Amino acid sequence: MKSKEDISGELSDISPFLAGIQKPIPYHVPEDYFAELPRLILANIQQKEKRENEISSELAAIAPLLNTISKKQVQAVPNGYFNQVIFMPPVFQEQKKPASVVKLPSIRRWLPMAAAAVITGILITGAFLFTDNGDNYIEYEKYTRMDMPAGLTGISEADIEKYLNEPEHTVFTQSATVPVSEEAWFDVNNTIQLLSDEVLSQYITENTDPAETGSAAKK
Amino acid sequence: MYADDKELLRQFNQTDTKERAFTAIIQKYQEKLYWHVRRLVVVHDDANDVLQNVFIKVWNGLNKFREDSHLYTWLYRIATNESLSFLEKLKRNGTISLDEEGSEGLSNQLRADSHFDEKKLEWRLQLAIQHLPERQRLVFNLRYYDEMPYQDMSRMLETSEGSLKASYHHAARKIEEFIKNY
Repeated sequence: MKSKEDISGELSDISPFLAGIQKPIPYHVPEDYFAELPRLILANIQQKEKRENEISSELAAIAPLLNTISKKQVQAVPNGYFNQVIFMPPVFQEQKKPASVVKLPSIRRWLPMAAAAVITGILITGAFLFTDNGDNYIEYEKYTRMDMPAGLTGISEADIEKYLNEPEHTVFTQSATVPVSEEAWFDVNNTIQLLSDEVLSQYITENTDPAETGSAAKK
Repeated sequence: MYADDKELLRQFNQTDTKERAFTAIIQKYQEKLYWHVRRLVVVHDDANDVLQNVFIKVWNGLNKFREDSHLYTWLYRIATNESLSFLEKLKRNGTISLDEEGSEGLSNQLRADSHFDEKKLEWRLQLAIQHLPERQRLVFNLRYYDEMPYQDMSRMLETSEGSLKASYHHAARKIEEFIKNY
């Protein structure tokens, strides 16, 4: 090789700055790397030769003629083929697993039908309530607040009597007593008078609530 | 002290001394070749793979080596070709992002080194070298670190000495500029 002085002098001419700096290489090497390297390389070579020998021996046993023919490729590839083609590692797409079929419980099957029935019911009830004109509804509250005497002053006695004599105009309330005609009362009185005391006593005994009897006794 | 190359070659060509001679050749040149490869591929594991391939090729081809050239230039040629092929593979398979000259990807690998310290001049020098075009990087390394004569380099790279001198000149100027402006 050319002497160190000549190479340093050349560098000084080109770049005095570069010639003035140290040359240490900052890279690190594993410890004992160079001590182990010759043994590693020889081991690799022996392993490779052993593998080649195995293949050659196998072929010698099967078809010895093939061992005498060169393995050189006879086909050619276009110039620069291997420099142009970019070999990308295959991308393995994760295969999508088909969704598992889950059997729905019976309640899940009936639920839509029940919901449909409820909705139908709501619609029918709503329609009924909406179309109902409330003919039979009596506003009792309204009547209790009415000033009845003032309202009746403008009506003649004859009209009132006529109105009351018409049975369809009778208004029944929960507290109203059932009117009993005089004939009916006469019949009841006559019937009771015909009954003996024993029969009446038996009737009273059979139709009297024991609780009432008790409370009466306490009084 | 290592034996002379001619003696090692003679021993290598004899079956009973072949392995011993080969071990001696590895021991004699492994460090020079390792650093030559490492400066080109940057990462130790990559340099180790490349260097092992280099010596396997040497084992397979040394019996055909013609003694009209120096053994070390022949070894350097194999190591250079293996390193550049390795970098080509990196470019092709996209292992690292490499531009046309490979500068950006190699600079990134340099920065990824656990010992990297951009404040230190020697690391900035390495960064500057990685920013050179491939040919200038190779010539600069062989001349600056390995102190290889232009004549040997010319034989090894099959390039004229004038072209190599120009490459070295441009490379040195670029490196100086890079470091001063960093």
